Amino acid sequence: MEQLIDDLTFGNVYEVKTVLASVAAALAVYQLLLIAVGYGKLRPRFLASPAASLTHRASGDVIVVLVAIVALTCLAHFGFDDHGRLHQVTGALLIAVFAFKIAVIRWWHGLGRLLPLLGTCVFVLLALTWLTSAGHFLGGGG
Amino acid sequence: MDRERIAPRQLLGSILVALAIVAIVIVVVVARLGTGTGENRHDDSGGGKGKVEQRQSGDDGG
Repeated sequence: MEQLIDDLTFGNVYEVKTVLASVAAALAVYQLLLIAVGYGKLRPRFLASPAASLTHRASGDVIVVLVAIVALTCLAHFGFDDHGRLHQVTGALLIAVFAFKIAVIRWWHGLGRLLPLLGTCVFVLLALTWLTSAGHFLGGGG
Repeated sequence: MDRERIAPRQLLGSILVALAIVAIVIVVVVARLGTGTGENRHDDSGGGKGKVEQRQSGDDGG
């Protein structure tokens, strides 16, 4: 698996991970704006609630795929080594909350009132996970 | 979230904004990573000095 990831990324695992995670983080910020419009908290003239909600769902699907790829790359290539403990904890929590949120959206509709809270948790965890890895890497931390 | 009719133009516009965000982030991050790589390569090779020496030798020959 590690060799496959190395081959797919041409040996640039950190760089590919950084790009994918940064795209996911930027889309997550856009998600906040979209769902604020979706719930009617923001009412711009150029975007109505249904279109914002649908784009939120589509963009969220893209983020799930990106996060899954980055997480699999992390686990397969780096595993659970001693350094980066905060990154490991926030990453694991992110996957867990993400999975729970998807379950609520797809099947457990009775828990729909938790979606704003779950969405906020996903955003905060994604931001923390990005900051402790890609953000650190881009900032020259190595 | 409402169950109103979705305006196609608004949907297309919001999706295009998402694609623009993706494109901009890719360009910015790759440029940032590329800058770091370029600096390292320059530091390792010291190629700039070589180019100056080559140009000087060319002038002498002409």
